[in-house]
Amino acid sequence: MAATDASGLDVGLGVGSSVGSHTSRALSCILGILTSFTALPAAHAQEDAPARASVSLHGYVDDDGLTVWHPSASASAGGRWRARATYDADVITAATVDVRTSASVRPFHETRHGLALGLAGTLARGRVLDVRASTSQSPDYRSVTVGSAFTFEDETRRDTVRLSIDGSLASVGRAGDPDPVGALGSVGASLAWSRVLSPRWIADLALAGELLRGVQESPYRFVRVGEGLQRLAVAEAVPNARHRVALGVGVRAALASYAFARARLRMHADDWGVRGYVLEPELVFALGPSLELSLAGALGAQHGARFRRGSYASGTEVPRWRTHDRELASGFHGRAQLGLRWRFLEGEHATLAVSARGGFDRHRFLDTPLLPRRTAALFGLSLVGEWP
Amino acid sequence: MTFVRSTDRSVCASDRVARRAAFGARVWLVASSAAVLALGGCATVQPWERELLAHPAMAESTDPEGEAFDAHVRGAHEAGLDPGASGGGGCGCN
Repeated sequence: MAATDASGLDVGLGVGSSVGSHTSRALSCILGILTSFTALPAAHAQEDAPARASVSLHGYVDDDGLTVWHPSASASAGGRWRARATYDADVITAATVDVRTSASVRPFHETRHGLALGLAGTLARGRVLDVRASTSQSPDYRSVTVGSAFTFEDETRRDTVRLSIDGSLASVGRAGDPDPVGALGSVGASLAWSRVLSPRWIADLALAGELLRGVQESPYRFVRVGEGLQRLAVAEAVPNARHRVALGVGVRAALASYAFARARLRMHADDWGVRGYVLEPELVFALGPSLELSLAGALGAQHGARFRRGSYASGTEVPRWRTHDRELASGFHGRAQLGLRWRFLEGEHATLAVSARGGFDRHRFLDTPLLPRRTAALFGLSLVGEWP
Repeated sequence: MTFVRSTDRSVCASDRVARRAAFGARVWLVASSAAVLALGGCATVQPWERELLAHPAMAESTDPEGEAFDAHVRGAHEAGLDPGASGGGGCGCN
């Protein structure tokens, strides 16, 4: 789901601000087969879950001239087998950076549509099998993703383990050009483990890996090579294969009956030479029985891809691998966010809640003389209903 | 002299790279060890002790729609793979 969502925004960013991460285009393409648990006794946990529906609108605006509106709607219902559906879109506008990076001289407008369907079945007490499929469509990028996950919770409800496998196939092109540039396929797997440590503490551990093959360049991005009169603008070129791994460790703590904290450290690495560390702390305060205030942040650092340069000026030969993608550069970033959640109706038959959030995101890129920093504002509003 | 200086620089640079790599390896090692130690200990928490764990603020996701959008932005703005937050559950509310 996240991967599907990411693809659309990434396309927008790739075109509009030349910062689109190819990696986030990676969507998933193999259906995992995780059965053999059907003979176990029936479970109740999922059957007790309420039906749920939500609508939301989120926004992103940055000083590169990129604006993204992201409406979404989702619903889930059922008993032992629960079905869910989510529609989302990205309405993207980008202008100034096109000119500043010479990617294009035109202002850019694009809309991506995404649809995700899923089915989760309780095979036995504490054993849930989930299958999902999604598609993302925009004028220059189309993808199909399928995946499966198996979640296991032990009888004492101390440990919860989730194994997921996803695969995707995408067609990459240029807006207005009927011929695709190429295809991108990926397969990924992740293992997540949560343990209740005490009546106040939960620990989380997650491992993920992904293999990507295919077109990972932005068809809109060009790289300047050489100096003076011999200076050329050539298409970006990066390796067709990429292998990524990531590790996440975290804790959730109830500090008091009204104060809760969580923190997560994410680390990632790949065979292009990218390595990164991100620390994400969050505090939640219960201001009343139905009102919560959250303060969240993130601090991260990244070592960029080994073939990325701020300038490919030396020599006259065009390097085999070349990119000006800022997401592959070394740098630092930070985020601060404030959120409010209010359950304004809590009855026997329905619960309605509204969530609002807003914050800032700041990136400092190293070795990117044209665009060394980016500041973005993020905001959103969600309405959620649940029916037992 | 110039030659000596440039050699020194290259030695310093390779030292810095080696130190950075060693620092990165240590971070991974410490984080993994802490996680394994944390996940490896502790006694079973009884259902009647889960009041705080069952609070919505302790759930895997406190604002799924907002967090999905955050993941959406992260996916576009970070070159790294997102390992996911947790296995879910734990809070007694699943």
